[in-house]
Amino acid sequence: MGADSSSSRARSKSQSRSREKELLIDRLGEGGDMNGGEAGGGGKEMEEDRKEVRGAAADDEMVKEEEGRAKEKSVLMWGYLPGVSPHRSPLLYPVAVRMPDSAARDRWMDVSGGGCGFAMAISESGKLFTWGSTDDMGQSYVTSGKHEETPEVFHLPTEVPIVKAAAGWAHCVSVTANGEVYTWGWKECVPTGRIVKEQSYSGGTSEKEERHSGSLSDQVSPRLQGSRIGGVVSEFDTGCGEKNSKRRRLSSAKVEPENKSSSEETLSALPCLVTLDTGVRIASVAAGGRHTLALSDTGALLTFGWGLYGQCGQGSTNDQLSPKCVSSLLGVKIHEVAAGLWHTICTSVDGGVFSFGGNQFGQLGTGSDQAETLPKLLDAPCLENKSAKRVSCGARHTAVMTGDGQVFCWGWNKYGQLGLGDATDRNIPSLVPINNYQPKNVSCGWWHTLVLSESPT
Amino acid sequence: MGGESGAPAAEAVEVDEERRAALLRRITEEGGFAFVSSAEKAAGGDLRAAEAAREMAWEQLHSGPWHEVVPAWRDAYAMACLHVAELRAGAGAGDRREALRALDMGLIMGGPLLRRDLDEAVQRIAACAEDVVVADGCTDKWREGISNNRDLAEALRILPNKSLSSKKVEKRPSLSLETFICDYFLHDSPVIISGCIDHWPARTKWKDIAYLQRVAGDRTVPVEVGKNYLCSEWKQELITFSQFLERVHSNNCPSNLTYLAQHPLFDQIQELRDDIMIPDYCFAGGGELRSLNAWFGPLGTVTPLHQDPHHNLFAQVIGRKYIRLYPASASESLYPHTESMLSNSSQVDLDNIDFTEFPKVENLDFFDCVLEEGEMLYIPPKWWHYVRSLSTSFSVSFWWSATAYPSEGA
Repeated sequence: MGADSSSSRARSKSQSRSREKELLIDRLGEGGDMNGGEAGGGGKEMEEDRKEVRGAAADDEMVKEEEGRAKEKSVLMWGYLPGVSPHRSPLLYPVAVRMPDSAARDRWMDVSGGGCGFAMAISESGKLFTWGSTDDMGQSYVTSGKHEETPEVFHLPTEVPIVKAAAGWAHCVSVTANGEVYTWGWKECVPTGRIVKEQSYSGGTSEKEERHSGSLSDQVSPRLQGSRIGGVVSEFDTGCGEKNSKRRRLSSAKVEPENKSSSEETLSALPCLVTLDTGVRIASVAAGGRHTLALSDTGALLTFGWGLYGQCGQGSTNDQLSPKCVSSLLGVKIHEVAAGLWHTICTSVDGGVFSFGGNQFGQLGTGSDQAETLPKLLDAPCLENKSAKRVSCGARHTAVMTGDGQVFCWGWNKYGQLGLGDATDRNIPSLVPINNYQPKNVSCGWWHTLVLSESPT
Repeated sequence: MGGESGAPAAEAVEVDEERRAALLRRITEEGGFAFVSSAEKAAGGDLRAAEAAREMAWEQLHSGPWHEVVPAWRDAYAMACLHVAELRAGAGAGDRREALRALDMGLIMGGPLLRRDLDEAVQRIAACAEDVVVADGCTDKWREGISNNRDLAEALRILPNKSLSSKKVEKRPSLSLETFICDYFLHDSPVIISGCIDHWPARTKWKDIAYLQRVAGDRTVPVEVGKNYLCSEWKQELITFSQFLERVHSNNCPSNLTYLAQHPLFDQIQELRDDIMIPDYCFAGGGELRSLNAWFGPLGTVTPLHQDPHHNLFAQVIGRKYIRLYPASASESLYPHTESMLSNSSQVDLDNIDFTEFPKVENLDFFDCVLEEGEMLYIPPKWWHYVRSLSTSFSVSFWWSATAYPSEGA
């Protein structure tokens, strides 16, 4: 739901790394408005630094180098996070985010997409910290924790360290060192699974219990019926789900959006352990607008959540109620995943780029504006003989860095977020001219793009 | 005197501002701080901020299934459209079209709170329209399009099998309201009422393409493109009314068929609303008018067999349409789609019936008619109907629900 602060996520690692590296801020929205988009649902932004998670895939020397030095890491934040700034004003320069006194001996390990109006980061001991929620602005504390400017532990029903987290429009996902996935927030984004027992904000318990199908608002999603479909304005929920899903928990028609304050409990779900097939271990996660991606340690991609635009890649526009393997990608080992508001991009270990989902702005890079419900391998001439290494999605745009350090962008470009010197959308991968710098990583904000690079020698 | 007449206006401005301030507070509660700060900058004359606010609201409108969008965000979208339009219109004549488009988007997708403001802004900006020049021959070609398929024998070649061979819909000239209620409304029977809309200005004005261009040419409307809404190639587009008229005119291949269908055009364009009147029949049952929709397109548009929950008076203002009706009781034999979003549509394609798959259709009785210009057809609730245009055709449907009678649709 409404929230802000797209550029608010902590975005620090890059800064703390080393002198020669610089952060090229590729055209933040001009006019002094640094706040990118409303609801700057993070998730997609912090695709960087997932090497720590993937371990074996670490072909990135930077990371090893850094770990070798074992220096203490800092989290730096800038942008707009209403609950943090004294006067709810944006932070125009990076500011260090301190560990709270209560966790004085812990250290920062990784930063995560912060979601709507709150920020997330992970500590060395594997705790998930959140901050930025306020106590009077209608935040959904079930999603974000009721934490103001001081980061506090967001309790998950597990003692296993969290290694990666991401947030979408109003839901979060995290993965533990054991490869278990937890989701919470918007109910429709949280598949049936095991839910934590009542979690108090001061300190959660770890008791688990099976969620009963009769509880909460289990029911078939409401649909407009009876009249012909008409009007471009009508985005109907076409999800019809799986027949065998008894525990469908798409949001209920009975929930009046007006009753926001009282609807928190009915709209948001507490952290749930996502049920996975036996033997599946998740290595990385990403969150889109209202869909979620989980990448297994064997390189299989699982998706769940909102599917109206085909962003779950299952060949339909149905909502995906539980994690399901994108079967058309079986046989392809997936390396990285990223998600935007309505689209999904993933790269394979051998450097191919696959895209699916909404394509209104060309964000799939397929050369058209047709949505794709199945993964489509990009065959753009400019990517020929190139291997994609890093991928990141903004709300409506995509950025990829190739093995030879080139950056390609496509999609929505109203605010110059593609870095191509104009404001024209592109529907095919387009090379970003980055002279004299050696790109090392790329990460999209909601409406902007960041590149980490080395200065010329 | 001057003071007295000034006071209410000042009051209105105040109410207006209070309304907008309340909306911004509401958006703040929803967490839309960036929207609010951009909207405030926009109110101060910052076009870039106005556009950013509109983008933020637009993303909110598409952040989930349509029915889950918080209503305040629709009002916020309308507010941002208003800001964009005002600042664009102020920038000069070249931006007039952009301004109108912004206002139309606000009318089509925005909430009700600022509707009046949008309408007023449209009037203000539309007032500076340049003269419309209609190409030579256009006017005549338009009239030709309207008079296609006068000859029924000719028409039968493009109509579904058995057309006009089953039961005819009864036709009653100048039917009294009482007779309508007693003989048709209460009996769930369809009827054609003729001679009742001859006084509508639309009957003459809409035959003049230059008139349509003038009052609505620069307005943006949603249209459906493709064979019909059950086809996979079907899509929706937003184009200007001028572009739409051009497409109706050129009427090329069936896959590009463009139909302005089921759109509340008359809520959007006041001039066209003034050309029609609400027939008294729509007050039968003491119910409530639900919606007033435009159905405007070239020869060959098809609305596949479906049913609606409301009473429907379908006025044929320009051109002619073939309409086939099956009673509500025939539902089971018409194989409705099982997916609930399409469950009001039949799987049977009347233009190409698959009798092996849908055997019960074969001997099913139906009512049909060619609805001629100036006639209205009453379609009772839940009756199945199939509609095919036989010429350039502009119809208006009036949907209402009755309160006191059991025949009301669910």
